[in-house]
Amino acid sequence: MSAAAASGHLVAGHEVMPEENYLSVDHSLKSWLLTVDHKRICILYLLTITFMFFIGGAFATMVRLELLTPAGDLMQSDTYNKAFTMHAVFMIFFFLVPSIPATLGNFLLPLAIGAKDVAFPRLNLLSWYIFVIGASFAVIAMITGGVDTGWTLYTPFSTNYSNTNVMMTAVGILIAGFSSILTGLNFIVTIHRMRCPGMSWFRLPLFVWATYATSLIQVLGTPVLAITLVLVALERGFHIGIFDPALGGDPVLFQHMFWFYSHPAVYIMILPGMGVISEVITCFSHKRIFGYKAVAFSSVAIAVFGFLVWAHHMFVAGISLYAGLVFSFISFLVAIPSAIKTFNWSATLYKGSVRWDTPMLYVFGFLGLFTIGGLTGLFLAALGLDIHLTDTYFVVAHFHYVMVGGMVLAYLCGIHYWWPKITGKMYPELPAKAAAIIVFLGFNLTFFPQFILGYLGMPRRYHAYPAEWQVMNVLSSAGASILAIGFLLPMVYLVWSLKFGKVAGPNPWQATGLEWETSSPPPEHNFHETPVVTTEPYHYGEKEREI
Amino acid sequence: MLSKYIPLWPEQASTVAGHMDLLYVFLVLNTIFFTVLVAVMVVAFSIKFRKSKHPVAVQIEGSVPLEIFWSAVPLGIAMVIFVWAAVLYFHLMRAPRESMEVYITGKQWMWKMQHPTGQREINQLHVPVNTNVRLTMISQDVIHSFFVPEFRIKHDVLPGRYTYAWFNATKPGTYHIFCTEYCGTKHSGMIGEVIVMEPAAYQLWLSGSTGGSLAQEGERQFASLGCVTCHSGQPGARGPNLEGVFGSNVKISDGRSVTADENYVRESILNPQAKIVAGYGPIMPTFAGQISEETLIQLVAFVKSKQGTGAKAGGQATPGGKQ
Amino acid sequence: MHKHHFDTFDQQKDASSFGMWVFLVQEIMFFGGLFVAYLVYRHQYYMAFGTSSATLRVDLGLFNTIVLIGSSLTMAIAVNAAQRSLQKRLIAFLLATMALGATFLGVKVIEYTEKFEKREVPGANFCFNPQGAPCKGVSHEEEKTPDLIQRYLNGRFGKLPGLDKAAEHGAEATTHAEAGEAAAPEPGVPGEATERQRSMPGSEVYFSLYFAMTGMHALHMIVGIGLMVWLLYWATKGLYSAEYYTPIENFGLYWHFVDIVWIFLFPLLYLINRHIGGHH
Ligand code: HEA
Ligand code: HEA
Ligand code: HEC
Ligand code: CUA
Ligand SMILES: [Cu+2]
Repeated sequence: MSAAAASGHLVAGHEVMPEENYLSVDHSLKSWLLTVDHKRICILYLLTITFMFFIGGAFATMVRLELLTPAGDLMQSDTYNKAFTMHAVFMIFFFLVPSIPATLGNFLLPLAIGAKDVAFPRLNLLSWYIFVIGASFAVIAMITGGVDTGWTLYTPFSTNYSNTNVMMTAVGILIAGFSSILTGLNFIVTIHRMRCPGMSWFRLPLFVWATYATSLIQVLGTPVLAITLVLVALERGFHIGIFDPALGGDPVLFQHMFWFYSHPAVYIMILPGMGVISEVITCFSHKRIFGYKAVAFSSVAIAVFGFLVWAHHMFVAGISLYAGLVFSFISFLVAIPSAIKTFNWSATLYKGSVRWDTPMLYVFGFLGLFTIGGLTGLFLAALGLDIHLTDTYFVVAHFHYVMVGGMVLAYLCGIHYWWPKITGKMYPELPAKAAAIIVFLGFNLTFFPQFILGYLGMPRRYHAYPAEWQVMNVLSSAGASILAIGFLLPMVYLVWSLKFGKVAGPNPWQATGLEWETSSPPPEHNFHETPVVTTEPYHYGEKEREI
Repeated sequence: MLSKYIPLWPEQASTVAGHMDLLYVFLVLNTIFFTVLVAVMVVAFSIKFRKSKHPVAVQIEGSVPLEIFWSAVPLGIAMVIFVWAAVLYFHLMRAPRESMEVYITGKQWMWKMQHPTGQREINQLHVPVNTNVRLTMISQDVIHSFFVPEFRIKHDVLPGRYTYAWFNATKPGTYHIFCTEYCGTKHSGMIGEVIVMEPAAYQLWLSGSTGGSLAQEGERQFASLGCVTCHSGQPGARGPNLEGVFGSNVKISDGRSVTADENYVRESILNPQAKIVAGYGPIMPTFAGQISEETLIQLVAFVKSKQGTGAKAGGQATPGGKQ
Repeated sequence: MHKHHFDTFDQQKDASSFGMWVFLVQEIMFFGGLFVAYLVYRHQYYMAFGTSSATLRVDLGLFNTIVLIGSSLTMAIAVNAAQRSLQKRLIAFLLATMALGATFLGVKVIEYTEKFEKREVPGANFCFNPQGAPCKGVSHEEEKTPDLIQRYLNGRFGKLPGLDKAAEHGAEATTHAEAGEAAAPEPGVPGEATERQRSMPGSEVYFSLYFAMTGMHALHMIVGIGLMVWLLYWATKGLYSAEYYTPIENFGLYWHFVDIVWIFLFPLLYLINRHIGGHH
């Protein structure tokens, strides 16, 4: 299927909706709950994780409200401790980890490699059900009193001291973890075995490379989290003694095992975003990516080296000095592939033909915020400096810059970019641009003051704090309310666009990539005939030449 | 300076604070440099090459020399940061030989300080100015973390094992103590203050106390717990003579030898079977569950006080946790 | 007969066996976490691990090892039978594999119950004190394997022979230990040490790992047997043949993997430093 054919459609101007697409084949609820279509599963995930995001956001609201005043006056300290714990549990395990892979990944992966579906469609649906069961556990844990251990579940607090719903939460995370593993497994097999004719490894879109790297981490890392949580549950439920120092166990071992997953997991939470950025920045520069192989391999490098730096979360936790040295060194190495990506993205803009549509605004935001977030990661990877910074708001600011400024922006970017493909409708440009700008400004106002607070020494997970830090905290809370508006807006206009949006046509952005060569929304089996790839990825120049 | 109006860093009240801030400033400049670089590239290119001005993109594949350049330069900078920060880390994690000792026990949600001279305090720590102070810390429940921002020191306080931190305060005054490892309900209330005093005032404070020194207290415990029955120091006693043990290299029965530091003594009391001194049988009973952390500290201080002149002060030079 | 989203049957077959291998990699990481924990503590509590390990029944462990290797063999034959469309043989050897798996689990039940009787199960009731005062309510006499098995066959799970009186004491001790736990939740607080606290330091960690590792392994066996019921059902319906035997083949991989895990568990848990146990 040639690109010319696709653009040929467009010449006609307003595109007639194809008669049957994956959305219209069957409208019954049953057809949704039993679907094995990767595109419908994307929608299922989209709804679920949006719900989870708002639960997490509601807890963030509580946290920021409490921190308006130095005294712990709005809520009890236990309530506050539960608020930030539930905030992080929902945001990390039930929103950010599945965010891009389970939604855009599910939707695009088969389309992007010219397949009819993922390798194991029923397993894919099962993953969603498992995820929902895990999320239900977490929600039940929340409703029946919540949990107050911090998302890191450090022992022996979580096993022997907390009297909240640790078990229920741990089991919920464990179950969601299996969903993550199965998704990763499915994607790895799909990428290896389901590529259409002509789709060689170096013709894969960079989003697919990023998804591949992410899946590797999901398959290799998540099982370690699983066994760690099993041990925590056994220790809590049956008083076995693996991490309990009173019985000779080592609580630091728990931290090693936890971070062995959770550090790589932060790359689960950024690599897919990087993939989205690569796609969008080429499209809106109408230019092929600068350094395709460098960008592709750096994803894999991040995934691999990401497994070797976990103890940089433990520099003052009582590890040996020499272990600290090694882990710090590798942490600096793992920053290099991110640097490579950042510079290649910037270079891609050079001599491009740059458009400023909403997804591109998010790309700009991502580049700035991820750079700040990543560079402040270097502060924390720097051994001596981390002594002062660890467990302060500096860390909080760092990870919100990479996770919210990076990944959440990339997620919103991807949602806007592929919205026409997923729904067949265009979102309204003006409110979308406004939301992107509000998010950017609100975000910086929320989290920039936290860097300063952190260096001043404000510890994280504090319900009350010395009065001299109030100004910065008020700024941060003010920013958070702006940020909330920025996140709520897309909810409104995206839903609005479902009914009132302009019909998008197969390729509204004149993008390359197989997903743009089928109709929007795609038919049930993606392509009417199996595509054959004959060009390099991002063959932007060639299109003009053909016309 | 700007920091008068908007504080940018906490007061510099210890010998390392200046070093820490210098490294911090270097990293801040590095961050500004790269952020501005990326921002300028992004903004300039996307304005200069916007579609209306530059309708046809020039297709560029990439450039290997550039890739090498922008991997090597960040790598070089990263290595500078790494080495610099590592030096600071080793400096901060290893107490100088000549240090005054303070023992700290963390518990939900308070800090209990024990001075070698016998004073005990809660959530307060009185120390003299311009003196190295070495903290030997342990928790009796969950993990805590001892943080004094004005000194730029922090270390986790673990149950079951001593960890260490040290500082040398340069200005008399009162400084924050925070617990920075989340430890339950009143984590944010587990705070206190370090009171740094001029030597004269400190002497005055010291003299205000009653009771014996920490080691003397330990000696009393040593007798009342029945340790002396085996560790009488007489030839033919059932257990080894503890004179001069601390800081020495102890030969253990499986052929290895270990340095007797605080953690070794603690383990010897709670888990005597772990490392059996060569030439003795595994007969010492465990005292696990019977002695509080504070009493343990007294016993450790007692054993430490018997550190003869012959003993190497090895235990002192390598705090910061061995595994 | 391939599913619609594959282009060819070969692609489908290829994808599922590749998927199975990825799954096994995931399993390796799962058990890997346990093995790392084991290695860390084995180093830290060298003596305690040796001593605690000496309480395990090597005879039963060895028997189980043989049973499990045998079940791998029968499974391999079953796969081969499927590949050659030997319907009856497939069913027979699946059944044999299930029987061997069940035997393994049965022996595990015997071993576990014995640990409960001897209070060597982590928790409030835990007591393991080879040097000090003997644990209340526990006989330290070794029971001969045939007697042990005979006792289980007779359905007398709960009691050690000739120790009925002591067993009553045991019940008392349990409540004591629990009360002790509740009264002294803060470790490190002085007071009368419970039997649990007086136990050999590190031994509870060993037994925790023993139960966690063999428990996770047993769980995999149980899941495996469940899957075999499913395979058996379809085998009787004649689903598998030389043309289509991927599920059988993939399950075979899983079963061999579970077997291999045991091959590591057996020496690490049963055979370390047998000589240490000698001198108590
Ligand atoms: C999406 C998630 C994400 C990402 C991508 C990262 C990326 C990085 N993180 Fe972060 N991190 C978190 C999420 C993330 N982190 C979270 C959640 C925590 C806290 C967990 C908790 O305790 O609750 C944390 C905590 C954390 C710590 C522990 C802090 C502490 O508790 O004391 C450390 C320490 O090394 C660290 C380092 C890094 C580094 C070096 C990178 C690097 O990968 C960054 C690389 C990127 C760049 C460097 C920017 C681009 C490069 C250039 C523009 C060129 C210039 C480059 C150089 C000069 C090298 N992070
Ligand atoms: C994906 C990850 C993610 C995301 C998206 C966010 C988003 C936000 N986070 Fe959070 N955060 C974490 C991951 C994340 N966070 C983690 C891992 C921790 C560490 C926890 C720990 O220490 O264990 C943390 C901790 C953390 C803290 C530190 C708490 C402490 O240490 O005491 C703070 C404080 O400001 C904070 C704020 C915010 C804010 C303002 C947002 C905003 O971006 C959120 C904006 C969104 C909304 C506001 C939603 C809008 C919806 C509504 C407003 C509906 C409200 C409905 C009702 C009230 C009914 N987060
Ligand atoms: C029943 C006799 C006995 C009692 C009571 C006893 N010990 Fe010991 N202790 C020994 C023996 C024997 C050794 C050497 C073997 C070993 O390391 O376990 C030893 C070793 C030690 C060591 C290591 C000494 C070295 O040379 O490295 C320390 C420290 C110690 N004991 C302290 C104490 C303290 C403190 C108490 C009381 C709370 C105590 N012991 C009670 C018998 C005893
Ligand atoms: Cu103690 Cu936090
Ligand atoms: Cu990390």
